[in-house]
Formats: sequence, structure tokens, C-alpha cells
Amino acid sequence: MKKHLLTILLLCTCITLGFAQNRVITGKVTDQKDGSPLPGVSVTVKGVTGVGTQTDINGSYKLSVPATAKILTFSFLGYLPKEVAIAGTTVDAQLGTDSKLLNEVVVVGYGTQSKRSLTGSVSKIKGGDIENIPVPSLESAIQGRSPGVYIQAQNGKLGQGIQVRIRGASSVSAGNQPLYVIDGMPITVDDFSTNGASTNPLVDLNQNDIESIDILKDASAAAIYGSRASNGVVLVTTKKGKAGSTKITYNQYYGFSKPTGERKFLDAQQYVTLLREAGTAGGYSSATIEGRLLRYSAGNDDYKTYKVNTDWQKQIIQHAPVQNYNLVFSGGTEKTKFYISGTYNDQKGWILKNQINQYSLRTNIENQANSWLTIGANLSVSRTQNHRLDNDNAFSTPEQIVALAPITPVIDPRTGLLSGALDPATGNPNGNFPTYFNPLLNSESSYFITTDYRNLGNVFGEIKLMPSLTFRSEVGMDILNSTEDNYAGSLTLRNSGTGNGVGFNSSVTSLNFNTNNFLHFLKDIDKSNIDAVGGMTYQRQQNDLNSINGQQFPSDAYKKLNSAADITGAASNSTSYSLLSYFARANYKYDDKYLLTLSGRIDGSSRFGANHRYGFFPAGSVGWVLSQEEFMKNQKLVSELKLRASYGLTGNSEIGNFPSRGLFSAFGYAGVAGARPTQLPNPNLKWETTATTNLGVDVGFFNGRLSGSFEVYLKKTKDLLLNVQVPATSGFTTITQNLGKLQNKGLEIQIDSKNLVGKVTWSTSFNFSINRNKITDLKGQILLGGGDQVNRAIEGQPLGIFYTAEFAGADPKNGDALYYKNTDLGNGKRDRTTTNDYNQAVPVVVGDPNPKYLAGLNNSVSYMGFDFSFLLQQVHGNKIYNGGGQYMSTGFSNGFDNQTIDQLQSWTKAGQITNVPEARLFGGNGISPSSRFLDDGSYIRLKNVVLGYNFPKSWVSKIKLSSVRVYAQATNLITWTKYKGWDPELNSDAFSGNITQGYDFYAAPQAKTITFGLNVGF
Amino acid sequence: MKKTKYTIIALSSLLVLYSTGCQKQLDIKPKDTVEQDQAIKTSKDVQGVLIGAYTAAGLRGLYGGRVMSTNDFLADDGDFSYFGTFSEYTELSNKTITINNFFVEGVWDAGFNTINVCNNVLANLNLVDAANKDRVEGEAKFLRGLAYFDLARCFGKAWNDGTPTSNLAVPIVLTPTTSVDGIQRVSRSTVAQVYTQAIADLKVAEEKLNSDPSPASRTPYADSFAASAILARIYLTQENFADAETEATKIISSGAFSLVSDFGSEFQHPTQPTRVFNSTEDIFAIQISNQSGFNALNEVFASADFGGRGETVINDQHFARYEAGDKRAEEFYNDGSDNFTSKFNNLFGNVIVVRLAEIYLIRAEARIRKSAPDLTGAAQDINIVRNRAKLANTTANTAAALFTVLKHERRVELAFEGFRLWDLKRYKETTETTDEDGNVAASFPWNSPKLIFPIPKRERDANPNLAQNEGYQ
Repeated sequence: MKKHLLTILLLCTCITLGFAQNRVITGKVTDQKDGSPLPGVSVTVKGVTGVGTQTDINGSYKLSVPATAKILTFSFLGYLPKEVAIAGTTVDAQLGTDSKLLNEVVVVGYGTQSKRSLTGSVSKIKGGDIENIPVPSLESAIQGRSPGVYIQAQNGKLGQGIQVRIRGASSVSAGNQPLYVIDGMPITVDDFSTNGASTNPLVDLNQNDIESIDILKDASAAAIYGSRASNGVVLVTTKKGKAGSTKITYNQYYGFSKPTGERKFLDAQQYVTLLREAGTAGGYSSATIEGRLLRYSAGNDDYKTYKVNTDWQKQIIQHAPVQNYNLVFSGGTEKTKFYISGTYNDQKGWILKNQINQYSLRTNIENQANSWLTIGANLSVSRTQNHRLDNDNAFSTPEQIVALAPITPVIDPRTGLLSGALDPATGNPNGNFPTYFNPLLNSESSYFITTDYRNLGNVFGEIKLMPSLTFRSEVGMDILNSTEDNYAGSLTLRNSGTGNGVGFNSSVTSLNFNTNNFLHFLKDIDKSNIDAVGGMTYQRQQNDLNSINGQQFPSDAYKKLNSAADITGAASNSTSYSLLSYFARANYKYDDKYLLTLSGRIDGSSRFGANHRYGFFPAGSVGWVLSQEEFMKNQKLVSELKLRASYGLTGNSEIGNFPSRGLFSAFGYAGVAGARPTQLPNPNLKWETTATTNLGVDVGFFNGRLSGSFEVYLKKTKDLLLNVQVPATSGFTTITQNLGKLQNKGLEIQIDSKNLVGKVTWSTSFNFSINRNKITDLKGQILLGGGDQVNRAIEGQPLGIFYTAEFAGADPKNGDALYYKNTDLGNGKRDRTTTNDYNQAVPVVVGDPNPKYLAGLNNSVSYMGFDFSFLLQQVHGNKIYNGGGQYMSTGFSNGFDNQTIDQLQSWTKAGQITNVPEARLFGGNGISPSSRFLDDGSYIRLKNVVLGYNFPKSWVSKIKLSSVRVYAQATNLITWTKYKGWDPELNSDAFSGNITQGYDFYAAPQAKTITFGLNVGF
Repeated sequence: MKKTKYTIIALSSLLVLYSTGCQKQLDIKPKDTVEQDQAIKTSKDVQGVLIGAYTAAGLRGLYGGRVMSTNDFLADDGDFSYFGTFSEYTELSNKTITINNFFVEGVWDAGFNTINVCNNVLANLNLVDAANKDRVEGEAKFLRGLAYFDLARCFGKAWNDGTPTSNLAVPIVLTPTTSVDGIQRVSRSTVAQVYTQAIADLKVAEEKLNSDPSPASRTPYADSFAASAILARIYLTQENFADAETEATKIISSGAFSLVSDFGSEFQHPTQPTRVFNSTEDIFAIQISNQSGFNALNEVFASADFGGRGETVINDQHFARYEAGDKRAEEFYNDGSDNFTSKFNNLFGNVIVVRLAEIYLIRAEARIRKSAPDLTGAAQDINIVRNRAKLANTTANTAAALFTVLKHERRVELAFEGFRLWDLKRYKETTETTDEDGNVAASFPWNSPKLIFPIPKRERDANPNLAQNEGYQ
């Protein structure tokens, strides 16, 4: 499509004048690199004005030239001009790319634009960079590759939700994820998970089908997406075929995963010793403690000799092979081009029973029906099956296994079965052994499978109305059917509450219909160039859900709900929203030096109150290409210099479908249905509005060998959609209102360097970004996050700031946990004396979950047939709160959970100076939320390393192939961090939200994956 | 050019079609829920909202069980120990409630949610058909009165502690909140004001609700006797023994209820079906089934074998309270190492709010303590409860001795059902935290501020007009 639009663009640069001529030259212009035809190339006669044409879609041209003509000149944007002497009546030309120019084409809303004339802020990631990376979804693959884009997985479970923040969070209560648009269609990104941990619908996309990912960051680029653009827009373009012989490529990789880290817990001896101390300090008789030890030691004395020493976190690690097979056919004729791919991906997670399995097919096809009509379709189907795990807050989630005592054997010697599987006294699973429900029983006795069937497709037609005016119509549907099938068997009695099996089944069908209809005008008038689009778009999404719960199965052999004797719940739900919009954008360019872009969108949304149904989102930007000025022409150092500035408004409406309505919900009581109010109406509700100012400089040195892009921005959001806390005496605790302001400001740097070219090539790409988030006005509200409510939204602070009591260590006198009182003494001072009464400690800001800066460094080297590249990713200056700390790091003060090894430093005798309060069994000593559980979350990660070898063409052609490459790749190979938990990249899947950030709650670490792959071209 | 003309005509008509067609599409109504202006239009709608009030009252934070369990934990002096991960219960058990205690906040939030739903019903009584009007009004006022009384007890000082007319309880809101602008930031009313409101509501309920004593006319909903029962409870709390006796007598002499002959059978057990209606002894209970409701007492008191969390272990101190042969001492079980109460073993069992045995004990106490004591009558009431537990008649015959027996009977008959805190406050007793060796760690007299819930922090953040309770500032 890019090429096609360029054709139109260049068609208009052609000035055709009809003169009598006496010779007709024909020929074809191709790309030097891959021989593909180049449409839209200007063909002129050297030294003769007024004679010229352009190549057609197939790169062919036909030109009548005067008899005197000797040389033809071929020129094309982004390519070096070429002069070819006329010999005979056929003149072909091959054009080489011009590395000097920023010739990249970026995808923008409803069109494309050359990067050179771009005045907004767009980051591009090429599909080739993320091919064959063994991660479940594309966000993980682009981590660290673009400045200003902060990507954070929740944990190491496969297919889980991933948080993407483009230039910071712009909302406190509404969505903060970007809008995803694939081949022009906004896609469904709803999370349909019901197990408390979100899933990621982008998992359904096959990374290897992606041609490019363009991230629209400022208002100039994004405002054309109106009320959904405040969090940035991610435009995904899938691969298209090129005219030429059919290329067949086959990619395959195989590998395995391991966890990136582990947390250190007490071993058997340390556990027994510390628990005895804690028991005494907690006022428990030694008989009670020994009784407990005996119980957790499976009823025998092994604990006295530490004979059993189970490292529970090792028990949840499984052999985790990863495999992927991908076959692609692409090519076509001059009129019809196609891309067909099929992929099978099977990825086992390192966590017991975690697996994702995917088939996907894609066909992209385009046909030039006649001289004025082009039609096409992009269609994909996929099936993704995810064997999932319970959310982080469930006793059954694998990582909570660390709470079990190291003195407990994996296999209970009394029964020969997994500990907890059978209590011989009752014939049921144990109710009180081991310490908690053993997650291994869940792995053995239950499953939770999410299966997505996804059809993503659109068809389009493009009509050339006039040489400078085209009309394009796109109609697309994203049909997602997601089912969940869950069975928890008899062994899970202690967790599920029933001993005869519990089943759950749900199905969601989401239909997302979208149509875009717009005109595209493109014309050169003297030195001016106008490129404008305008049109309308309509989108409607409807989600229909059914679910059933049942219990009482004859045995664990029966797992479907038709075998359940007791159907305990069933539901059907339906929800929808629609968006009707009109948009327009005009790019004006004068003499390739002065650039102006104006855009706007009017969005009508069903989500908002009757008083505010339509919103207007305008944006404008200007650019000045200094390097085109005469005074810059005489120097060799700076090859490219552009200044640009933009300002505009975008909106955010990700707040659910009916936030403005007063609602009653139905509830049953003793078999009778009733209803009660659950939401207050707010007819004045409207979108959040973000005003973004962006200033940028693009600079290139040494003919483009070194180039850089520097940007600063200020995003100011007002009318925040807030879940405002209201007095519960009203019958409600929150309502959604437009209230408050926040801002993000930051800096982004992108530097690309071709250090070596020639036989050895070495290129380096570096990106760095800083974002500072600040809530400027909440009208005095303090909003709390989930979990321990340590994350807050407070005026004057970044969103999600850790706001809690400040821990002051252990009292040397008695081992009590101490907190700074921090009472406000006025004049900016606080009372720094300490107290052991938690209620007396005033909560204060103790840390920030937002990173101070992000960075990425990518290096690629190639020599002969070898290629090597590595990507380092850095997140710096953020804090992580260990929400599980109150259980695992408080010296048994909150239960019998096994403790982290830092608890060995706990206070034991008067006068001892330590930061770890006395271990007191159930003593509640230091268990309340405080800065005690806060840690530095900075890390640097060797995100990706690839070493590949391309077999020589000569050798390859002997076996009738066109290319063969083998490679080894490692993802998340090394992580450098001071974080004491499993892995610093986390966000509790059970608690995280806009406010709760950097909250660790038994988050399973990321996968470290090593793969070996093969790419073959036939 | 012809082609262009046609295309432009076709396109503009298409655009117009889309625009007009889509405009309508912007008006999408919710399907899972009903908009406020459609929700209350008929008599049936109002009765539906009344059912909604029961579901609100049955929330786990309130009569789903936590209004009972939180106070029992706060009152406990070592009869049981909590070994669980709900720090809310640990705080209550240790008498060190923090202002963020989520269960305390839950009582407040669910309490006022229930009141608002009741206010919605009462504000729309004009829609209710004549045949149902009294019942609807009575039931809504019953639930509202009940909620106000319990909120006042939880968040305010005890009636007998200082001056109820100046001690602060909770805000009183008697109109529904239906718009953002309608949200009020109400200050706390006094203990006396809230009790007065509760009594006024319950008196209307008592008068307007069904008082047909025939056991066949009992329903799962509140009736006149349920209102009398709560009134008896309030009068007893106010030490208004005459009225307490009167209300109790209304219930007892009606014959509408009878004690279940076997003590253990009063409590719904797991072998029973998943939807059980009230026993002959239950005067009012929150109806739970596997389809709706949540039994928070099962959650905290039952062992894992019965769907609970197995975290609340009953100690020997409690067993020592029972006389030999007391059937009530059998309402326990051992899961292999720890003892648990059997009272809440049905995951889907109803949560009893008031049952007849309590009414006998209320009347007995009133008869002992009223200005002209009726010791014979009191002994008879106590003996009815004792005999059901297979114990002989009490031998006590003085007011003091009978009072001691009465206190004991309440403790063993009503254990874990949410009475202990109110009893110890009425009797001006002391609770303590003890360690496992029986040594007292800390002692809390009946009027200790630590035995009163704090006003939840969240609520005070949202409503600056709320004063905090002593000891939580």
C-alpha cells in the first residue's frame, strides 16, 4: 500500500505537456536492491524541459522524446537519481536508495507520509526486527526499541496482560493503554478473562506477519483518532506481496525457557530455628510450635534433623520447549499481489501447566481491477489456546508455593501422594497440611484453558476519481470468540471449597465492525504540495457473553458441565458501544522546506452523557527543513536538519460503556429476583482532553551515517474521568466524574549510527526517554489503588506514588517495628521521632513506581554471512512494593508462611541494631503496609541476542534454494538488578491498575528463552 | 468525466446514508442493567427494590456475617485464636484496629448501602398497590432500623457509656440519593438520635407487618415479630427492661416460633440442601443459597473441609465454659488437629440474625433486671433454653445468681453469633488479649475506645464533616 500511495503522490509531481515528438522510448525501472518495480519514478530528458512522464504501477513507462534526446534522467524520492544514455528504444534503469535522505515512509492515520515531511512524532519499528522472537505477543517484542514507550509485563505467565504506556499515563481512572489499529481498523483489545488475571488479546496476532509498527505519539500524529488518542496510537501494518516471482520462505525455531530469577527463602534448618524463636516471642508454648512443626513435617520427626529440605519454588518449574513453524508465499503479478502465511506456534511456559498453542493463517491480496479501481482484502484467522494459571492472589497460583514450609516433603510419606492430596483420617484432601493449599494439587487436578478464535479482516476499494483525488472505502470486522473452560478437581477441596469438582465455562463473542470512507487529495502546484484526507468512520463493538458454573461431579474423570449435578450459576451479558466520527487532515509543503499539517476529528460516542455526545479534537504542526535551505547546501557535515513543532487536543474515553447512566442491577434473594441501584447518573460526563505540545529536531550527519531525533513534549490532561470517592452514606462509594488534571512532560532521544559500512557492517541504535508524570489537580481527592492501598493518586505527585507509613527499623529495646511519626509540624517540617503504634505514623510519600528514565541500545554487526545483534533495555529509578512482604518477610508475624532469608537478621536481643523487627509468630510486628516492603526496581536487561549465519548464495543455489540462514537467539538472557524479588519486570495481575503500579504479589518471573532457528528461502 | 460524476453521486449518497444511519446508533442502552429512569415505575418494581434491600443487607460486609464476626473478634478474650491471612481479623482480634480496616469499612459501606436501597423503596411507596403497601413499607423500615441500630452500636459508644444524647454514632440519611448533586455530606448524629430513628422504623414495621402467629404463615422475609425481636434487643441495650420484656413476650406468647428440639439442628449443616428456609426457631435470617449470597461466618469459622478457611481455632478456654452434659458443647469438631465450631458448616447456610432462644434470654434478663424483678419468670425462660441443651433447670433463685446464670447462658448459647461485644458492654465486663500460656497481654474495659470501630478513613476523606472516634485520631 505504501508504494501505491507513493505512486499517487508522485503522479502529481509530474508535469505533462503534450508536444509533437518523434521517438518513443519504453522501459522499466526497478529497485537495485531486490529488483522490484518502482512505480511513480519521474522520467525526464536531460537538457530538455517539458518532456517527462512517470512509471506506472509496474514500474514501466513510455515516453516520446525529441530526436535530439541523448540521456534520460530517473528520479524518485528516497532514491539516488540516475542518468542513463538512450540506446535503442528500450531504456531500463535500476535505482539505488539514497541513504542521505530520511526516506522512510511512516504509516499515519488514514494514509502514509514520508518521514522527511513529517511534522508530528511517530516512531517506527520494522517487522524484521521482531520476527521470530519467542514471546507471546508483539508488545514484548518491541520493548526497549522505541523511546517514550514503557512496556511492562505483569509476570512470566504466558499470554497475560501487558501494560503499554506511551509518554506516561494520561488518566487516573480511564484506560491508559494505546489504541491499536491493524491495517486501518481499530481492533478489539478487551480483556475477557474471568479468573482475576487479565489476558492480552494481541496474543492472537502473528508477529511474523507484521511489516511495521508505527507509534503515533503526539497530538499532530494522533489527533485524527480523536477521543481515543490520548494514550498514543499503535498502527500495525501487515506484510503485502510484491510483484515478481513467488517467494516461498520457511521459518522454524525451537528452544526452551527458564525463569529469569529466584527469591531466596529459609531452608529447613533456618525455618525450624526461626519459627521456634518466633513462637516463643509470640507467646506460644513450645508444645504448640512443635505441634505445628510436626504437622508441617508430615507428622514425623524429620523436621528435627532437617532431613526434608524442600525448595518449593523449584517444584513449579517445568521443562519448557518453544517451537514455531512459519511458511510464507508471497508475490504476484503487476496487477495482483498476494501474501499468504501459515504459522504454528507452541510455547510451553516454564511454570507448571502453562502453555500457549496457536495456529494462524493470513491472506493479504490486492488487485488493480482497472485503470481507476483497486480492490483488496487483508484477512487472518487464528486459534490460540492458552493453558492458564490462577491469578497471583490465589492460593493456587504456582508462585504462592513459596509460602509452604521447607520441612514439608513434596510427597507425603504417609500416603505416597503429593502433600495435601489425602488425609487418611478423612479420606479427603488435607484441610490443614501443608501450611496452605498446595498449588501442585491444582496443577495435578485442574485446568483453565482459554481458547480464542479470531477473524480479523477488512476489504477495501480505492477509486481514482481524478488524477489528484482518490476515494477509499474500507470495511472490516474483528470477530473474536473467546472461551474459557475450567475444571477444579477433587484434590482442590481446600482451595475451591468443594470436594467433588467445580467447573466453569464461558464464551464471549465480540464483534467489532468498522468502516472508513475517505477522500485523498494530492497535488503539486508550483513549489507547493498538498496532501489531504477527509472522511468519516463508524465503529460499533458488541460483546456477548455466556457463562455457566457447576459443581458435584461423579469423579475427576468427568470434567464437563453436563456431568455436574449442581449448576450453581449461569449468566448471559451483552454490552456495546458505537463511535461515529468525521475526520480531516491536510499536509502542506512548500519547496520541500516549509511544512504544515492541520488535522481534526469530530467524535460522537455512545458512552457519554446526553449533554456531551460529540467532541472535537484539532491539531496542528509546522516543520522547517533547514537542510534544504541554500545556506546549508555548501557544507558536508550536516546532511539533514529539520525543526518541528506541534500542538493539539486528543481525548480518552476508555471508561466502560455506560459510565454516564444511573443504573440498577438485578440480584437474587431466596430464589426471588430484585434490584438495587448500583450507579448514579451523570449526564454531564464527557471525555478527558489532553493538550499536547511537541517540539522536535531531526538531524543527520555524514550523509545520514549518523542521525538523531530529539523531542520534548508536554501533555496536559484535563477533565479527568475519575472514580471519585463519595461518602458511603449516599449508598455509593464512587461515581465517575470529570474532575482533575494531570500532566506528563518528557524528553526523547533516538540516535542511529552506521558505524561501519561495507564488508563489515555495524550499526548502533540508541534510544533514551524521560517522562515525568504529575497529578496537578484532584480537587483534594486521594484515590487509592488495590492491594494494600499503598499506591495513591495524590495532587502534586506522580500517579501511583507509594504513600504509606515510613518504616524506621526495629526498636533496639524490644524489637518492635518502628515507624517515623512524620506528623506535619508546619513550616515544611515533619516529626522525625519514631513510634511503634502504626496508627500514629502519618503516611508520606516513600517512593515512585514510575521510572526516572528508559533506555534501549541495539547493535547489529554483520560480516561475510554472519550476523550478530543484541538489544539492551533499561528501566531506571522506579520502586517496587512487595505486597507479599507482609506474609513472606515479617518473621512469621502474619502466619506460618516460609520467610525470606533477610528475616534471619531479625531482632533477638536488647540493644541489637537491625532493620528487621523481632520475629513474633502472629505478633503482627511490622506487618502493616509501610516503606519496609519497598525496593529499587531498576534493571538493565539483555533483552535479545541473535547470532546468525547466512549460507553463501553459491552453496545455497546448488541445492536449489535461494537463501538459508541458521541462528541462535536468546531472550531475557541476563538481567542486572538490585531488586530482591524474582524479577523486576512485574505488575501484579490480581491488583494492578492505573494507580496500583510496581506492586509485586507473588509475581512469577519472566521467561529466559533460548531458541535455535532456521530460515529457508525457496 | 462521466465515471467521476457517478462516483461522486454514489459516494455522497453513501455518506449521507451512513451519517443518518449511524446517528441513531449512538444511542445504545445498557442490556445487563436497567437505567434509573426505567427501574422504578410500577408497584412490582418497588417490591423488586425491596428484594434488592435484602440482598444489600445480606452483603458479606453486613448480615452476610461480618457485622457479627468483626464484633466477636473484637470482644474475644481468648476463647478462640485466629491463624489467618486476613489482617483485618488479626487487627480486631488484637484490639488494634487501623482506620483502613477493610472489614470495618465494609460494615459501614454495606450498612449505608442497605439504608439507601430502603430509602429508595420508601420514597416510592406511592407506586405500591394497596395490598402490598404496608408490607413493603414495614420491611424496608425493618431493614433500615436494624441497620441503623447495628451501625450505631459498632461506630458509637455503648448506650450505657456516658451520655447517649451527646455521644456520636453515625449520620442519619432518610432520603434516597439519585443524583450526583444529591450526595450529602452529613455529620454524625448522636447515639440517642440514631437509636430513636431505629426504634421509630422498627415500630412502624412491627405495626404494619404480618403478625399472623400461624407457623404456616412464616416467610423468609421480615414480619412483625422480627421487628419486635430487634426492638427487644434495642430496649435491652438501653436497659429499658419493661419494654424489652413486652416485646419479647409478643414473640414468645404468639406461638409463631418454637425452639428446635435438638440444639445442633438449629444450624444448617452441609448435608442439607443448598437452599434451606428458616427453621421454626429463626425469627429473621439472611437467606443464602448456592445461587446467591455469601456466608462470611462459614468463611471465617468453618474448616477447609466445610468450605471455610480453617483459620479460626476454638481454644480450651471456651470448652471449659460448658457444664457437663451440655449439648451445646457438642457443636464442635476436630479436623485432625484443631477444633472448630460446627455452627457455620454449611457453605450456603443462612445467616441467622435473630432466633427465638435469644428472645427467651432477653426476656429473662429483662425480668431479672427490671425494677420489680420477676425471678420465677426469668428462671422459666432460662430453663427453656437450658432444657433444650439437655441441661437441668437452674438452681439459682436470687437475682444476682440468676443474672450470673443468664450471662453464662448467653455466652454458650449464642457463642460466635455476634453477641459477645454487646453483652460485655452491657455487663461492663473486661476483655483481654492473652498469649497461649494464658497470661494477659493487655486488658480492655467495656468502655475502652479500642472496642469501638473507627470511622473508616475512606469515609472521612470523602466527608470532612465526620468526626473521628477517640483513640483513632
